[in-house]
Amino acid sequence: MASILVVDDDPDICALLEFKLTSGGHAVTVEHDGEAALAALEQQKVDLVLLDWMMPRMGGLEVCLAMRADGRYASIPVLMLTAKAQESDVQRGLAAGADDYILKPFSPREVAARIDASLARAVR
Amino acid sequence: MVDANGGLVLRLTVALTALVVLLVCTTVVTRGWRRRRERARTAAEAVARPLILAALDAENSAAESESASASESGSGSGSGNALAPNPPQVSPRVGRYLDSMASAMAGKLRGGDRAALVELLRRRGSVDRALRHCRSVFTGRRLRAVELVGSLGLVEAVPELAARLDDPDDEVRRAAVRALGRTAAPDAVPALLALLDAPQRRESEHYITLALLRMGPPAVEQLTAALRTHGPNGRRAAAKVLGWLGEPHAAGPLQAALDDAEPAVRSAVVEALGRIGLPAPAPAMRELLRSDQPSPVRVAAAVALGRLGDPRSAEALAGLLTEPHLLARSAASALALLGPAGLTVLRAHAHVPEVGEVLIGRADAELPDLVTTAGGRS
Repeated sequence: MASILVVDDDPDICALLEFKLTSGGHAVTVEHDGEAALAALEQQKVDLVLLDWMMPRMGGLEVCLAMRADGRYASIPVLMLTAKAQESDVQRGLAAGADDYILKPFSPREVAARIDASLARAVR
Repeated sequence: MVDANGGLVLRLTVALTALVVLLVCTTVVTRGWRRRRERARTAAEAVARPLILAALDAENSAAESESASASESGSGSGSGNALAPNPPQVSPRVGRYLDSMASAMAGKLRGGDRAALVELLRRRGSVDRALRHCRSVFTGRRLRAVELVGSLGLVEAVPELAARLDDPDDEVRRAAVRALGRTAAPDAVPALLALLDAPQRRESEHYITLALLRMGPPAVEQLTAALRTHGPNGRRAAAKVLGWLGEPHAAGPLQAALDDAEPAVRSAVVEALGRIGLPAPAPAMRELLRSDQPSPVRVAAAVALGRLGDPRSAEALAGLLTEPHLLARSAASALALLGPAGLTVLRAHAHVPEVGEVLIGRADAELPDLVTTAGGRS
């Protein structure tokens, strides 16, 4: 079981992902903006972050950059889950340090599979 | 006199007090009504959300057991709907929220989970109801219906949605355009493009091209056909979308459309070929640099040839460096993208102001690298 931080400003998506990932045996924490996500990282151990890009107060890209610049969180896998589908967006997301980039509309099962794969790689 | 004034003041005071009391009462009642509506919404969502998640869970279980039985028997997979439960029985109020939430969530998903939500709405009768309501006399009901079938991307809804492209209400028409884009049904392409050349055009090209772009590759065949069959606005939009999609198979039909009678269409076609990036149409594209072509077409051709990066375009682009500012600037920018062949031409024309601007721009961009290199040497 892993501890996963889901960060998205869409409550429906958060509810769905929380449901899916909890069903898959993970512990899930949900936050709705980037600042709250960074605060959550301070307060608890997180094994993986699933991150939306466009959010109020602080976007996912900034969160990712902040995590990679902070030695405490630099090794935590980050998966971007976003509607920003341009080639240049994907490049920016991966260049910011994301380990994977998933486009919306998304398949929750595929997200769960990618999370498991990322967690397995992180363990290796 | 004093009494008359006193009476007037009294009446004014009473009237103002009554007005203030009325405003306070209205505000209190409105706030109370909003709070009540919000509580009702929250309560209905609290009931509806678990039902939606349960439907997704059932779909997952069905998919997993199918996958397990398929791997045991070695057969392929079928539909997971065989094991789907009956639709949940809920009050009409909760049902409305359930429909709204499930359709909104379906629009954000793909794959089996999306199909499960569509199936849930079908079993509830919500899809059939929405298809009927697309023709309702009530604007709000039509709008909700179009948005629901749109978020589900139902191909079967294309005729109803196409009929709504003539809706008297702006919002319904735009919702129908968006919804047709989500269906990704090739049949919807001609109807959308035809809007652009309608005698009383009411929809902006922006909405329509976005919807076509959203359709993606399934729309390519109809878009390429539209290059020959539609009016000038439709042909131009089709070319633009083909370029944005970057579909290599569209390069042939686009090349054939380079001699379109309308300059605006030729511009869009050559731009699209530049975006697709195949080298074969380059000679035909260079023909559009000729002085007998309108200036916007020549500019579009220069930009597109720059995108292709074919050094054999350098000579043709050099011919534009003595033209007026916009043409010369476009040609200089394009030459800068052609590698050494383009740079040779630019240096030979360094006295041309537009070329100078481009060369200075390049030098500025390269300066940090040059400084780093020099620092490394020292």
